Amino acid sequence: MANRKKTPAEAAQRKAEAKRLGIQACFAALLNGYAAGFVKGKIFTGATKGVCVPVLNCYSCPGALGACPIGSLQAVAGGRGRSISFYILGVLMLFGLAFGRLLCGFACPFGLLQDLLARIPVRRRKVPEYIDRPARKIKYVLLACVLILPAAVSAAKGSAASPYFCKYICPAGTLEGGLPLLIANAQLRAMAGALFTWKALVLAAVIIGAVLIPRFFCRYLCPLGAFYSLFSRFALYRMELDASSCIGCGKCEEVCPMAVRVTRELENSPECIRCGRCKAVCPAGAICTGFDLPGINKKETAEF
Amino acid sequence: MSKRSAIWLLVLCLVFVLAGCSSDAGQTAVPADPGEEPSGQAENGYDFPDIRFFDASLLDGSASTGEELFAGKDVTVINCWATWCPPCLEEMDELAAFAKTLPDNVQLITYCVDGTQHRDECSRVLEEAGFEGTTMISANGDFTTLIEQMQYVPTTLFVDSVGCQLCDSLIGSPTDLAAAYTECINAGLKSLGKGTL
Repeated sequence: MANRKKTPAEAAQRKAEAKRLGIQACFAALLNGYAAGFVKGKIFTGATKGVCVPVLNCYSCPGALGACPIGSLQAVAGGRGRSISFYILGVLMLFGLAFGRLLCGFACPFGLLQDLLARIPVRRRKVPEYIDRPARKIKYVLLACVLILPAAVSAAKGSAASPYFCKYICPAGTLEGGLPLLIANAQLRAMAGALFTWKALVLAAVIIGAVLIPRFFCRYLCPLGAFYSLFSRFALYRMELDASSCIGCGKCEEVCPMAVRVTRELENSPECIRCGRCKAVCPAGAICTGFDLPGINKKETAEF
Repeated sequence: MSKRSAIWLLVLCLVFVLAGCSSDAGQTAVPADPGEEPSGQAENGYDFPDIRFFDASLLDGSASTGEELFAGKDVTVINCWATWCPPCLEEMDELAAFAKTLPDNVQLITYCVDGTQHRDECSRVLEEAGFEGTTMISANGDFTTLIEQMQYVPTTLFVDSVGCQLCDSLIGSPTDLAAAYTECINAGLKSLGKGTL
């Protein structure tokens, strides 16, 4: 098995995956490029910190050059003014419209981590549909909490409220922010209490989840993925399945990390992270990807 | 559906982006408190510089200097906080109560790091907590260097009558504020050869 020669199709798949992994690694390094921060245990405080990045990347990661949109949204909404941050929503909508969940598949550092965890060879079981379907809705509930809870609590008590998703749930924050800061900083370690224990448990659960179920966090929990999924139908970057060339072999559905029913609902699926694994595995070349601008759509202009 | 909806969405999102540009800069770059710990996070307090020379604006509208603020007190406790920081707000009642128990040779002042931009909110918080001491809302000189190194609020500093650090600064909101502050104040008083609290 180990020495079996790879077929050209397998080689092409591996190449496509390696390329995606490379892109993901570049984004992770680019977004967290302040290496000195990890050594000093201090977060970067330069001017770019005011820039909202389009993926889940903790503001408090010592290397982070920008701000996490989910954290920023909550900080602004829960702040004394209870404002809506038009800047952050605008950035997210712009990226959502242009790329949709392509960002989840190619740019998100926490997605990269989960893709690496999914390479650990264990026997994976399919999640039964009666659990999978409702569980996928959790991320929308969390998105609603991100958008509403800090503002609601702040309004109720008349002063600033905490970013609750960051505080109680976000495993990316624990991994990128909490752990490196604790490791580098004795005074912080002395302070870590029950809340940190809870967050470490959440992170551990998500890591185990991601080993057993590919993209566990993206499927069920990520509020940013939930936000981008609302744009799947409209995003300029698209994936399409040409039903006439599809031979119905089902290989695409086997490799899909998000368990999308590719042959039935690829195009507008809110769950598809546009990672392209189905495209790489398709023996019939029935799946195509690209930017399909409204108004210059081939099919629509063909009507004239 | 898709073409028209997409165009409308694009327009909407441009409106959002532009609205973002026009809003007050202080709001667009609000640091997201990571909340890894319930009460802010820690940083090595001992590398903070002494704060001997600076001019400060006070919440009551007057101006002061480091020399003036610290003069005549063996220990000055400086609680640095922000109006956007929930742990800071939560400890304010306890802080105000503790300040009232201090003897004449020890004082507690606060520095509201966003007090210049949010003066009313700053006054409201302090008033509600019943804090009657001095509050700075801006400071320059040595204080600028200090603030640049400070990564977390609340951070509480302990200095002598000329602004030299007496004790590792406290990062975050301690579970027992009075006990933690007393410990630091006593360490400071002891090093000065004075009687402890």
